[in-house]
Amino acid sequence: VRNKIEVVGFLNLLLVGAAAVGCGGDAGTGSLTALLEAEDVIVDGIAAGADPENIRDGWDVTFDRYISTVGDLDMHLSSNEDTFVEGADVFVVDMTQVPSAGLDLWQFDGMRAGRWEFNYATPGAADGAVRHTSVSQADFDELVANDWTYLIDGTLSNAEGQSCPPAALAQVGSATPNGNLSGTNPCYDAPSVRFVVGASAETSYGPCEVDEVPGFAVTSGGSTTVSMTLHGDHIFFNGFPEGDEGGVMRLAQWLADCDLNLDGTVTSAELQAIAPAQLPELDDRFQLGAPTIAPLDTMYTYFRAQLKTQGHFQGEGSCPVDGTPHEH
Amino acid sequence: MRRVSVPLWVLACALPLAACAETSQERVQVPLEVVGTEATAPIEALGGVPVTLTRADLAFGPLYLCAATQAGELCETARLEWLDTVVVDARSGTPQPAGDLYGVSGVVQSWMYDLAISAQLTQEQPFVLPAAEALGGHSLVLEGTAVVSGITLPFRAEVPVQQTSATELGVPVVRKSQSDEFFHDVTGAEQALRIRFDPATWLAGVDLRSYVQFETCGPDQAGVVCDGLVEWTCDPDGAPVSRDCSAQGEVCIAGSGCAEGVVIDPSSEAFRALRNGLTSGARPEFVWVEGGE
Repeated sequence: VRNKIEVVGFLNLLLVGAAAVGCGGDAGTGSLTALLEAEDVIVDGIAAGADPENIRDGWDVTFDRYISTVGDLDMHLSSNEDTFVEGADVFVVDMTQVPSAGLDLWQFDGMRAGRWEFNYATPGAADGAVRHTSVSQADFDELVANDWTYLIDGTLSNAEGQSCPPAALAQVGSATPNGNLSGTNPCYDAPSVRFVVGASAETSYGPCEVDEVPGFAVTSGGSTTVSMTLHGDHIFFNGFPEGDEGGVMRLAQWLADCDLNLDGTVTSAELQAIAPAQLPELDDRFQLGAPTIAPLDTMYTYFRAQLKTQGHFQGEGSCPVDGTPHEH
Repeated sequence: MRRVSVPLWVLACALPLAACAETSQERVQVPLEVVGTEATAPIEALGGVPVTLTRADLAFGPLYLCAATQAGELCETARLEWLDTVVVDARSGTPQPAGDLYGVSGVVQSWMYDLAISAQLTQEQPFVLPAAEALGGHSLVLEGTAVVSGITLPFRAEVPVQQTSATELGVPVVRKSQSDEFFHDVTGAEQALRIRFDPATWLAGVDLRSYVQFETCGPDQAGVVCDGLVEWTCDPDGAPVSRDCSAQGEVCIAGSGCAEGVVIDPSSEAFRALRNGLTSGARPEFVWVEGGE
């Protein structure tokens, strides 16, 4: 047995060296700054219009709060999975207040030069997350108490907008229908619909890549910057498309139709009460065949499933969602 | 104990190559079986409505198994694929051979499939494949009866499931979710991959209660209403006229009157619920049948 251990030990050592020689490797160390970035739509909103980036069914969208829980960075040297660096800090940040240059929340020095895989997470806030100054104490406490990943407060605006809640669930009080129907559901004038939704959407992202180039490179003596970018428009995607976002249609009428009591605000409870089939707006323009959460039983699950897709890398770079976990 | 006697210089030269080489793969062929779920009692639709199915034909295929944890664009080359289609009798618990999956050995972690209507990047209209052709161009045909408030309601649904120009051509319509568990190291020694479909999961979100109505004509009301099995034609300028649908062996369908049964309309909530049940509802069960089972 002793001989075998010696040989195996020697082979392991040799393999590490061989990988470095055969697949590339550098000596020395460098530093890494990891930024948190907000897609511009979170800060500037999304305009109604006919262009692919617009909301196509007439609604303008703005966000007052887009509070997100981000962190748990996990980086591996590409040539040696056993060489890793973790950034366990998790921050709760209002993405509407993130500067355009990003928020530098993580700094790593002494990283071995070479190419690294990059993974991160959007966990629940209850597990030791730190409040960023952009978030009020009350909002932070609410996220922690509910172990939410997100608290999103936005507004849909359309001078000719309407809300058409499922008739079987609607509690419209004295509101008067405007004569339009969505399927068989009466519609009501609604030029502005706010949505305030807290949601758990714990997700791991990675290994991230940009244009099929994985992770990032650290050069000896150099400084590297990477960014985790949260997109803000995925809740308006027409389902769960697999390809690039260029082919996606953004639609918001379904969310306006979720205001069951017509009080002007869509809540988590209202989303939880509605099954996707109860919204005629979710017709064959929507592709629901690859939800990040299955089954898609309510519109709250749908909302959470969309939130799980919005973690990106370096702007438009992609990160597999909830891929194989790293064990260490 | 035997010592390893390979000269170290040989290892030193060979290992740089070995470190970057892919592990060897073998061509494999794994039988595919599809199976339904035999109901021993009525299935429950939304609201606890008991449903007895007399037909549940699902057009299934092609199927792709992928190495990555996500299918779709991350599966440009499938590890195993079955390019055929088959009509699954989803009421039968007897496994039905569907053909063979062809590919290479190795780990598979995701799946994606069509329901016999396949969208191609180069075609605006998807191809209706043989199994869907056999179902009149649909992915699913359901027939049965539901008992709503004591009334036995025959129904029929024909559901095509396909990508459209508004969604994403070239991508299979159903793909593994991140919340689905799926992992297998394919060796080629498997007896079969068996996929089990359960019609109860498709019907779980379907509300058939709205087709039954207990109403009579109100003042100044026009149109047709149902009071159970009795159809009332309302006339604001005259007396309402009634007709007992059951006298002709029919039922009264809310909004349309006497009919042999409900034909679930593509614009209805029940239709959307069936379509969503197929695409984003509970997933079919994937079982690897190992040799000797």
